Amino acid sequence: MKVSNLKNTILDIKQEFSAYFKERDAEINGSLLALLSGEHVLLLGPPGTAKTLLANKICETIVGGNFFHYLLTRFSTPEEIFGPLSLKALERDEFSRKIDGYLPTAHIALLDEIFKANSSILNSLLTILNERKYHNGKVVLDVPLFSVFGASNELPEEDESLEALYDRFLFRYSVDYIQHDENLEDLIFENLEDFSPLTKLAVGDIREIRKKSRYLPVDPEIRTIIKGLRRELKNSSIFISDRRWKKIVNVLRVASAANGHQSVSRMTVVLLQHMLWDLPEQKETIRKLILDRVVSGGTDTGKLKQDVLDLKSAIYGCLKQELPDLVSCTKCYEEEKKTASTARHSRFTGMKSQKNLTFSSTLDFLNHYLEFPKHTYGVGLDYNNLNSSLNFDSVVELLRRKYAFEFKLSLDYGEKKLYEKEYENLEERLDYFRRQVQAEERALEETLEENIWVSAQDSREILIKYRSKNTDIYEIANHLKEIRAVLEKPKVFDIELETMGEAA
Amino acid sequence: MQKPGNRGRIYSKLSGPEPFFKSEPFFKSESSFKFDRDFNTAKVLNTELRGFLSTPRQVPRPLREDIAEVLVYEIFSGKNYEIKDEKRFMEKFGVFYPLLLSMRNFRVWEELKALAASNRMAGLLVLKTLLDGIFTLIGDYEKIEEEITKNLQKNLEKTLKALKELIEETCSAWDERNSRQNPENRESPGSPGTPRCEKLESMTRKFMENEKTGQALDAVVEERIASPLEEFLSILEDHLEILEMLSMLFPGRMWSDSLQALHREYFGNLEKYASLLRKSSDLRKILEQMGRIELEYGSKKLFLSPHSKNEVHEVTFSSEIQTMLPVEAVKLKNPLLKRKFYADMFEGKLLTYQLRGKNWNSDAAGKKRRGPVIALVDTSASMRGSPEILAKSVVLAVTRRMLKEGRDVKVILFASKWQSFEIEMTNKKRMGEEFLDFLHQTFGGGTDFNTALRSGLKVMTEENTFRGADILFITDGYSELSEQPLIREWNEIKKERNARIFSLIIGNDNAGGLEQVSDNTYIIRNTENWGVWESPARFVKAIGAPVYR
Repeated sequence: MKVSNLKNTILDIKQEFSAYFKERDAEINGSLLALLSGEHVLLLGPPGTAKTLLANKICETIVGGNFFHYLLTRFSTPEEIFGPLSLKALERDEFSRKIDGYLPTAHIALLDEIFKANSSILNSLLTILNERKYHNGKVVLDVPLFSVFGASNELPEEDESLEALYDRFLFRYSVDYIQHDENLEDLIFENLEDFSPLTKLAVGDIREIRKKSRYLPVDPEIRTIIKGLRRELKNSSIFISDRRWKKIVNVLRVASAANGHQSVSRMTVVLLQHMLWDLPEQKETIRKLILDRVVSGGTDTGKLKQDVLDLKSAIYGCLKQELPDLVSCTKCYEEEKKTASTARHSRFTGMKSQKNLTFSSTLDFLNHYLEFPKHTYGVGLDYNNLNSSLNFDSVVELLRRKYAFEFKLSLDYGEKKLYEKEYENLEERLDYFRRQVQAEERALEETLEENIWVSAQDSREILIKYRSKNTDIYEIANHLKEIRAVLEKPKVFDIELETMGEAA
Repeated sequence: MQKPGNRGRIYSKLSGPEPFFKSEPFFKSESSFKFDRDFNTAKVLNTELRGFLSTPRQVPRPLREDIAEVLVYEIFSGKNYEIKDEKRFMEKFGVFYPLLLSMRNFRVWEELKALAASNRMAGLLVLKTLLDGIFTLIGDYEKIEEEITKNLQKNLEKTLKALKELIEETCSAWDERNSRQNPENRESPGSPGTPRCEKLESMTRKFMENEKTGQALDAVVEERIASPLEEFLSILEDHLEILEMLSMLFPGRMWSDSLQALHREYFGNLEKYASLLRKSSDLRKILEQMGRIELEYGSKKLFLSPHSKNEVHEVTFSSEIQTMLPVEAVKLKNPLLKRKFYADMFEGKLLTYQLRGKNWNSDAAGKKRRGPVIALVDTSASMRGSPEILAKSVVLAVTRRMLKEGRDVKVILFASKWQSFEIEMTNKKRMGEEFLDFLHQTFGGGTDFNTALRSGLKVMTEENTFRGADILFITDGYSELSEQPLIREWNEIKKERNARIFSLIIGNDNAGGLEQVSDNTYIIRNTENWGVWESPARFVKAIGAPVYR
């Protein structure tokens, strides 16, 4: 059982590290996963937040690999990173560097102040990071590099070449000073000995897990989730390059393989929160988005709810007709006048007074009638008309006589069919969503516990979200029920107008 | 301070109605709506078009949204919707593909795009008509089939039949896709290998390869889509200004509903006041002077510039020996490396320090910003009648102009002592309803200049947006500016903030002491002969129709 060995090793390492590094669980997690999947990690934060130390110690857990550590400055020359020029080779008319012990031969590298990289080293660096190749004179070398840990105090300024460098770091963490006094106390008073990780990872194991993960199947929900995320991020003007998406799926595969899973489950997607942001400000928004999607299995609950509400209002909107003439409620007008004469101190406060007393559409009018069946109305703008206050039925008759206007109270057959179709579709979507959420609810806690990549904080949040999703389902189902009721009724508005028709 | 007799400029009588030219600068609808570089269709789809798209039709909802997205991009982004993968597009959209290509051929398409670029709201209206036409054509083809065949030449019958078949196939493919349960199937209609999709694609391709297709399709599109659009466009053209005003007053608002609710009360007003302005060049001149150019705070910033060389920035490759790294010079010692040195020098590959420096740079865009405006409007009873109309039209014109230029406006209505009401129209807050209410209302009450100036002063000192604003004072002058401390304070703040006050006195030749604080005073003595007869009724009907079937 190789895999379970690896899993235990990772758990051990994590435990060891979190005992020493306080409040750095997510970073430790991500660094390990990055190592396994061969991605690069960027640690962003103010000076003195253990960025370098953490990266350094993570590198120490690897046995059987070369390690290269260098602090970049704006004046770093290629010699310092890629090795000195070989004089021997030059004598033979060849240009090459002595790369032994430098970045091109390293398995793991730690580059401090990574965004200080200047143009003289950037090109070669980018090729090493992305293609894992180094052009040494005429020879193109395959670089054994697993991961590069970059540390920086600041994000690159607007400079295209550095943005390309930034894009190559898949995992991004922004670290800050320790939050809790107790943790700080532990750090500065208790940890007297230098930390050196006892549990080790072998390079061979990493290679094996990577091989194993390559053909791991991906659950269908993940496709939906990722597609939905991409759309949503695009809408909020966050653009993720195609390269990153490809890498992300690769990482998810490795994570699941290391966990001993047979396929990539959607709980692993929570890891995406450390891979999608460009600016630290976006972190929280993206995290919320991801957790939401993970819980709902890809269904956008907000959109589903909105769609249901839309359908509901569309049914009424379909019945909305413009009245041929304004109808105003005399009863309300009088009441308004009464209250207004006492309450109105200034002309300006009375500005919006006549808003709800006149109706220009049938919908407002009918709703008002249903609410206050006893009110009387005047037709037309002419306020002299107000004296001849009419009840609802006579208004209807008046409109019919004067303008040949008929109220539309129910959907006709074709419309009804359309609405029913749309309704069924929504119902199916809700059913799917419900199944998705409820099927996993019982096993959820275990699933989360068993997944080594999901942090305790994330799992708690996911559990809470699950519960709120149930409320969502309940709410949406209620709206659907209402729509069902309206569609089943022969008429949307239960108002009798037939007798008037005969009279006319 | 100016003496009463020596006013800046006096317009004894504003000239009467004069012919109105569309191309006059003040009302020219320039492209006021600039799109960001990353054009985002979702915003339009989820706000303005949402109500329209959610109304059920034969075409299923996801497809309605997808089609709308393509068209929104095509019409509003200023670029064509580029079809990157024709096969996928056909698999997904079927008959919509040839329709789109055919529509692009019509002249009205370009007009539509131009209109949408200059006036967003009008563009949205037309887009709705367009979508309506397309959805009807695809979804309810059976119902309109007879009509179409009747008007067409006999030799196209066969092609039309093919079109019908394609439409039917498209519809059923869409339906099937929509009703399928599994989410990954539902949301990725173009998943390769789905036989249904491939069938749709090959059918579409075959249909388009037919030589008569173009002719038949053009005829159908012309009749069902292009000519109704043209008609609608010509109606819209007369009312672009009003639409623009509404869209500025209610940015991002669900359009169909707001118009339905607003048009009865407000359209007439807007039209009335706007047309008044058109007829008077003198009023326009006053407006021209309003607002001034000022430098936006912080637009200049320290910037790294290669032109200044006072600081070592980083290491780079070049052939400049004077900034060369010492490590290169060492190479000259060794005969072998010496050659390498010269080779590097010729290729510009010596390691050298890059010198740069910080410079005060100013961005060309956004350097100059025109200032905000506060309009103080006298709403006393004595303003009733033509002064009121004039005041409203000036305020409307000012607001319109300012909003169009992205400047902030605040209208302060004042009357008797301690009575004032503020209508703020900034990026943060658009009190559109209140503004329209103001146009709708009748004036009544007293006049107190002191109150007015005090509230203006308060806005200027307390609100950051309006610091250094220009003030437009509109009144009939039947009051007296009496509080000396207030005048003094005003004059101080004017000097400090570099603000100006314009006074527009309507129907009186006495400025009531306002000249003590004003930079420019305009007086309109005679306010007779202002009349507006145009009726907006025709337009209201035209907009109402396509939105609700």
